[in-house]
Amino acid sequence: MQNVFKTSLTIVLLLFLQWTTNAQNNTVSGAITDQASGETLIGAAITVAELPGKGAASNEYGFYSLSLPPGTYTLIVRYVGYTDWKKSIDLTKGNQRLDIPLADNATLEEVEIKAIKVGENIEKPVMGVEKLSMAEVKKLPTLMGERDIIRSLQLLPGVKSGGEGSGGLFVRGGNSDQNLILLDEAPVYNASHLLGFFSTFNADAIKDATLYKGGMPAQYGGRLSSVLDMKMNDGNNQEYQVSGGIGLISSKLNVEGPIQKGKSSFLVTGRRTYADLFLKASSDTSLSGSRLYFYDLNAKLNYQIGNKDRLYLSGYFGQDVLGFGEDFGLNWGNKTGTLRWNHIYNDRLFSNTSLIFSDYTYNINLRSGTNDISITSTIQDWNLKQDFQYFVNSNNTLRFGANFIHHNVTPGQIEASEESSVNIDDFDQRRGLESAAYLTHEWKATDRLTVLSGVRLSVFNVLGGSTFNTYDAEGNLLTTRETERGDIVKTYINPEPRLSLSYVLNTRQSLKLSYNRNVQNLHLLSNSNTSNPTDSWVLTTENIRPELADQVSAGWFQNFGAEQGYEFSAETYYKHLYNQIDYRNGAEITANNEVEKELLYGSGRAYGLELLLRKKTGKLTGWVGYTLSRTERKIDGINNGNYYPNRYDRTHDVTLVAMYQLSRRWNVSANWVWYTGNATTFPSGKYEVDGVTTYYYTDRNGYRMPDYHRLDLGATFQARKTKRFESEWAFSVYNAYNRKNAYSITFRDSTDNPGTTEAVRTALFGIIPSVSYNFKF
Amino acid sequence: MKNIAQNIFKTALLALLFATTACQDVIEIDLDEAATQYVITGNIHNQLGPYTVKITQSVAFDEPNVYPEISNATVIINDGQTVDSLREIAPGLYQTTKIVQGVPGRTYQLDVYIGGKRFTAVSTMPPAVEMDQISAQTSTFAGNTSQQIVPKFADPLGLGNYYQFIQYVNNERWPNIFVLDDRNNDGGTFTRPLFAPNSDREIKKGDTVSVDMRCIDRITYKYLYTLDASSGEGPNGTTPSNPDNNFGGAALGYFSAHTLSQKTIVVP
Repeated sequence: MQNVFKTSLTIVLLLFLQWTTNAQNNTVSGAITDQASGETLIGAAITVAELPGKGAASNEYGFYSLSLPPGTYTLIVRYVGYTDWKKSIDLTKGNQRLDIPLADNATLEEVEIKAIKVGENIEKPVMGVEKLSMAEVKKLPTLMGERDIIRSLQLLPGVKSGGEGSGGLFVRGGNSDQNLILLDEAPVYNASHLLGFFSTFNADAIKDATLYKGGMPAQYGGRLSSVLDMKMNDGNNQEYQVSGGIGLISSKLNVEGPIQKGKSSFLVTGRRTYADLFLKASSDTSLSGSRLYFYDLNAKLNYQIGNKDRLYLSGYFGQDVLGFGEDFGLNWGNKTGTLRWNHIYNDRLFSNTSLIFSDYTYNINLRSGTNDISITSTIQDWNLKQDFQYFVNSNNTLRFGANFIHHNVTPGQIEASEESSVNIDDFDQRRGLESAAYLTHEWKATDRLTVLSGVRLSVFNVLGGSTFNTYDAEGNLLTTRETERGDIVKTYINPEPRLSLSYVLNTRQSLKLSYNRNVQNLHLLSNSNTSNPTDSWVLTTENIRPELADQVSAGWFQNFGAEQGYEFSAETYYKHLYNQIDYRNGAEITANNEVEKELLYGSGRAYGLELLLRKKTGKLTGWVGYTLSRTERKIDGINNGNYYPNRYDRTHDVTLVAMYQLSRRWNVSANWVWYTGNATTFPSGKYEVDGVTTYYYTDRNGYRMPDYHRLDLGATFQARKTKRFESEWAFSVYNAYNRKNAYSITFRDSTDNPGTTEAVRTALFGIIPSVSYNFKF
Repeated sequence: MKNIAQNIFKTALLALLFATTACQDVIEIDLDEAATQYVITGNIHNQLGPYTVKITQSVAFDEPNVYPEISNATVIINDGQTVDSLREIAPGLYQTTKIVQGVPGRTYQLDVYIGGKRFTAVSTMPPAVEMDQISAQTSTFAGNTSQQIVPKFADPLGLGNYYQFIQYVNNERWPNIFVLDDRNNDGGTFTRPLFAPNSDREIKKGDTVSVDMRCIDRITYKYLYTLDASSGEGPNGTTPSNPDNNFGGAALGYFSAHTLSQKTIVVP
């Protein structure tokens, strides 16, 4: 592995030298923005009419750079939902700065969506990537009127939900903690509200969401399964704008505008649910005394300094509050803050420096009799990132940088009243430093072959300041060691090679291959069937080794139809996972300072086939997706050391999504999902212990839950629209045919037929209609 | 405390679900029929015997809750001084003949021979801890008022004490498993209420409530703890498994040598 790293580094350095000495090209560069709002546009495609095959795309800050031999060219810029932009430029006498404002075509041609990025899916070397269109998210049916990015992603092949109403993401056989969820580059630890029914991301504040299921470029690291990279809107720098929505369970408001027109802007978005108000009105005292709500606040400022520098300050603050009177309270929330500085060193070198703070805290309060206990658990990160993008020429782009994250995990600070029969010291704090350096090279080797290669070198230092124990395979204490702050307890170094190839067969077909290794040093311990806000994050230690995953995948991409309006893709993958973690049977995980002795380690494998057929143009748009997959774990001490299906293993998954523009004002949509049941453990017999019926289990996760299917319907109605005010009604029906899908199946002694046992199905959501009203002025 | 936190969370989750539109119904499920297993349960304590060992068999899930008793087994308990061959007093129920009273600190070995197969379990009786008193408390949770029994006792200093409580209300034994360890209150005075979540039973004024407190060994504690966690209902339960026991998994059930301290009150 070290050799691979060295060799690739040498090759890249040699290429680098050659380019820099051989640079006779002239460069046009600048920012691509929305004309009306000044929002930068991510991933807009720039092509050159005279040089087919040459081109560039704007980066995540809207910056582009295109180097061409001296000459006069016609540039064409295309972006979904915008009118094509065309201009001839003179590149005979040196470099040019050219900012490109694009006009929203919604006002001109509302009815039809045109496929514009012809063949981009064919050519790009990245595979396993899903870019979510925010316009689409706004059309899809919702649960209780909440537009939800995570829930929309679950409709794509290879991405699974944890079950009914779950906001968790399970990508290609990975667990929910194996997704790197970034909001303006800040990692978000708990992406769900209300025990997983809603995601923490307010769709109105998000500009762009990209999910990498495999073949992640080397600038991303730290999680095994996927990267969900979300960028918040910057805020309109042309005029003030207020938008908002009133829904069944929540309301939201968004205010944005220029601070200095064209130069700087701000944006503030808030959302709060008010389901608890209904609970208060309830005559049932067990409901009226309860608290149950969440809120989100997104805020962002950006400031352009000259035409080479731009500063961004963005923050997210979200909190869930759940409680019953004074007896029980559970609060949890994420806070993130990002300060970023874009600097354009020259026409071809773009730099971004980020300082990121991220905090996830949960707090439990319990009162019962004289026992009054409060537990607080926190994970806090400081993150420094330096990223360079070097647009060498129209065939080569380099990206390199470094990243340092300091993690501080406080698993449980406990406060108990004097009289309470709890007497615990605070749990050991854990600290770690996660560092990485990376290099990515995107190389258009020939007209047909594009290579995206890279390597990420990740280093994890387990930092001292607390007690570290080691345990043997049975969980017995081997050694114990006190450490001081500043000590390095253990260091893990892992190179992560990444490679993606795309070979274009013709303008409508391509083949892609990718390999990637990922490393993860933060692990979520969960022993229950749902994600609880109180599941604990732990850092790599001497016992818990870094999780590793190797993934290879291959895909075939085919476009057809007029204007390449249909896209078809077939991707297969195989993933091997190392150092996976599970609990021992009967592990005691809450309020346990020595939780590491309750853990077992093993490996895993996941493989599958994902088919996706998408219609991108016309009045009817949407897709059909199918996933065939398997994910298994092999852990000593579980299932006799044999492979067993992971809890989120399910064999078949089908999704159908359709959106239809009925008229200028009405848009209707539907989605239908069907999947075979998740793996689960049911009894294969029963016996009696101390007079109580007890169940006998055989294989771990040897049974399957029943098939799941559900239809959701949605419609949006564009009400009267003027220059100054526009509004829209959104209607949804979740679970339209009221199917009772099993959320859980439990077993109990029957009360109807005493002396027998029965299986009980709990279904969560029946048919749920909702309506919301959105406005903008 | 783990139990309290988990149970309250469970209750909260269930309350939440039912506050929305959740519904429950009985369904048919096709379950495998595993090979039958022997189930051995037995105990010895520090009050006067005789003590019993019960041997039954598991049955398929769809069958009635009638568990075949295993007769004609050879059952021997050896405490290092006495080898006691148990006598079958009822089908599947075996009783000690020589060991009169268990002694804390002593290790007991149970050997069961069924048709040429041998099952062995070992349990050491921990030092005795006495309950000081039990009392009733009223608590309100999610608007529902209920009563719990609070046993009070002083844990001896030094980690590794494990407790099991059995609650009888008007002479009826509640099926709930109540176990505690001293991990988070070593050497302290315990006043943890015996919460019975998701129970349709109630403690009312005038009820006679008795509590047995047992000091149990670690493996019995782990066994009961896992059994309780595996029976966790609903989505918040852990992946169920057969709890590890002191038969090394060869038979189901457990063998426990424990101390016994009993208190009774009439709920005021």
